[in-house]
Amino acid sequence: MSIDLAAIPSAPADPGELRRCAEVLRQTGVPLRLSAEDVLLAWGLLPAAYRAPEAADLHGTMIGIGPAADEVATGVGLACRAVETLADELETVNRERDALAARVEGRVIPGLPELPVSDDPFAQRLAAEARADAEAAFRRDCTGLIDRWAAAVDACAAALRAIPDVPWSLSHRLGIDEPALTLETTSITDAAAAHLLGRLTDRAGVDAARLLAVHPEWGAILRSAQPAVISRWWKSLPAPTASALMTAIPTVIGNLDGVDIPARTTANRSRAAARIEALRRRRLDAEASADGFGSSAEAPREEATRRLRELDLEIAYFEAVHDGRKQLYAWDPDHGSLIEMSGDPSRATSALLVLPGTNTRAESFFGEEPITRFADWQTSTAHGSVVSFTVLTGPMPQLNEVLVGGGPQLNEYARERAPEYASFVRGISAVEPDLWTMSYEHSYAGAVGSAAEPYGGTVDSRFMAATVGAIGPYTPDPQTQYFAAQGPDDINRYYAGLRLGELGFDVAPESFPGVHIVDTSLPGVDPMNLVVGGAVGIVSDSVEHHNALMSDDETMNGRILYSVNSLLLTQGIEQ
Amino acid sequence: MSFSLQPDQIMGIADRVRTALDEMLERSHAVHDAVDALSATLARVTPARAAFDDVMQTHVSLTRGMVSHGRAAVSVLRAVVMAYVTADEEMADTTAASEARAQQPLFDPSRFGARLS
Repeated sequence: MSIDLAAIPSAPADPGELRRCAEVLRQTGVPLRLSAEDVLLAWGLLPAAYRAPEAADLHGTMIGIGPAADEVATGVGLACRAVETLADELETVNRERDALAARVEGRVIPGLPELPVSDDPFAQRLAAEARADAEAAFRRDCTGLIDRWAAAVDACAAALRAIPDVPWSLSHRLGIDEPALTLETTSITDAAAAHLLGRLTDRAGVDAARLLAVHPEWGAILRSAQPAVISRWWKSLPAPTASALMTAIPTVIGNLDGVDIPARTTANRSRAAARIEALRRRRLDAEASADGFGSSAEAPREEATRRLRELDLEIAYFEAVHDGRKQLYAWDPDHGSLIEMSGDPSRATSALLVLPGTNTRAESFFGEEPITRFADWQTSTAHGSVVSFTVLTGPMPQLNEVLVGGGPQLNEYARERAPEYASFVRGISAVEPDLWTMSYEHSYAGAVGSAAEPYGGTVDSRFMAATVGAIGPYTPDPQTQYFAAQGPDDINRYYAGLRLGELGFDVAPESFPGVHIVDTSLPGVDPMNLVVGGAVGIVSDSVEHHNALMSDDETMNGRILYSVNSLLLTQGIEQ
Repeated sequence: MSFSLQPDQIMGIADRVRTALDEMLERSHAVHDAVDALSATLARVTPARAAFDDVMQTHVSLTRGMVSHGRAAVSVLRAVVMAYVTADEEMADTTAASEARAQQPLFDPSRFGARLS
């Protein structure tokens, strides 16, 4: 065996690569444990929803999942540790190999001629013996390296074999059904809803009202279904059946995401007459109270007069709905939702979804200065290219609730509204897939738009107008364009980006990655106000500039009105 | 024991578990791939590789078994839900009939004669 570098054995595995692969394996084990926890957490809710003798066994079915996840995590962890120990051992031996290689390299100095060996036989013999000794030492060193690598490998194998087997009881209980693993799963809610929709449609829909009266829980099931499923069902209905359903169950049809837009507005329009009738009865009572008569005569007269004004506004609103001057896309007074539409979806190329924020209630839609002004301006200015929706999917925070533990500092409203808003967005996409969609989210509503994205409530563009931003951790949707605008002294700037548990929002809108900042042209802090009104004057201006972004007054909010309009017109046409 | 069946909540739970199991299957595939990659790195250290493959094969199988078992449970829940949506008319009729029967007097004087006072 000649002494040269090529003769030195190399390590049987790359320690760096072993460590990298072991780390990857370890990291894949952690999410698996989290999935198991998700399964167990959800399954743990079952006993509260399903209590029956036959259900007891079912409740305990998942009992093996947790221990199995622990078993996998432990096994993977021990295996990775054994491999990492092997990597350490191999690396130690590699250092000895490097030292040997350095010694071999040191024997031959490049460019220096080898010393001549004497012709004397004795000298020749001594030289040969010295060379043989060196070669033997080299051979021993090489063998030593191989032995130590082999010992490290054997130790690793022993450590791996010492990992306890998966208990038979567990592997037997959790046997594999290969066909079940290859099948793509489908939504159970959608399957159930599809069946219920079929039952509502039986006999051309004549039984629909009776069935829903007998089974009020069906409404919740239908609302939980994917709007795409509802849309397919609705589009498959014969016209007489669809018409019968709109007449028989207008509340369901008028609030079911995935039903065609004209059918919804027609169904809700038909509900207006009954509402007007009920409101007029309430008005008579309130009128009697205001005059000092009637069943609630004890109520203070001022209160009754205020109630009269409110009723008049609501009656006027529903008369406008009844006459077709206003279009209701959704309205569920029990839940507190109301979505008004302006424009014609069949002509439009873009849809604008306006989400007003704090203090929005159904009453915000009534009266001379309704919350729909921003949306109405956009529809009117676009001359038919835009259909707008002003969206209230449920209760929003109210400033007057701050003292009783509510208010816009709480982020739970955003979490609650998010799935509802996502369902609304998916409903629009399901029935009008060619529309370019843009949301205009004001104030608190920005958090709703952000929280809705994981539920599938994504639009082509989000315009965040003086919004609170998002609950973190937040990742923007890669398919969505983001715009943010707020006045230089907007009230949100004092606290956006701060969160503590259920209070506040930790991702400010202007910090969204890739967001386009739009100038509002609103003035900043006026030093004169500080002089005249002190801090109150400053805050008052901040609030005014905050609210200005929902205005249809071009002198105040013209820059934003036209920015949004320009996006709706250009992007909708490009679509 | 009081019985109750809240179908909308059961569906919500079933779909949440189903989605979590789908995610678990993806993660099981990831474990499988990571095991394969590490096994390939051990290709020239045969004893360690054989031991690693032995021990990890059972663990990877266990991850697949978790998903398989979970899906079987969800399919039972799906059957419960579908039984509800397909048969509740009949169930409602049966319940109504049994309630009507329960409200009838247990002692029928027309068949057994009047009670002795």
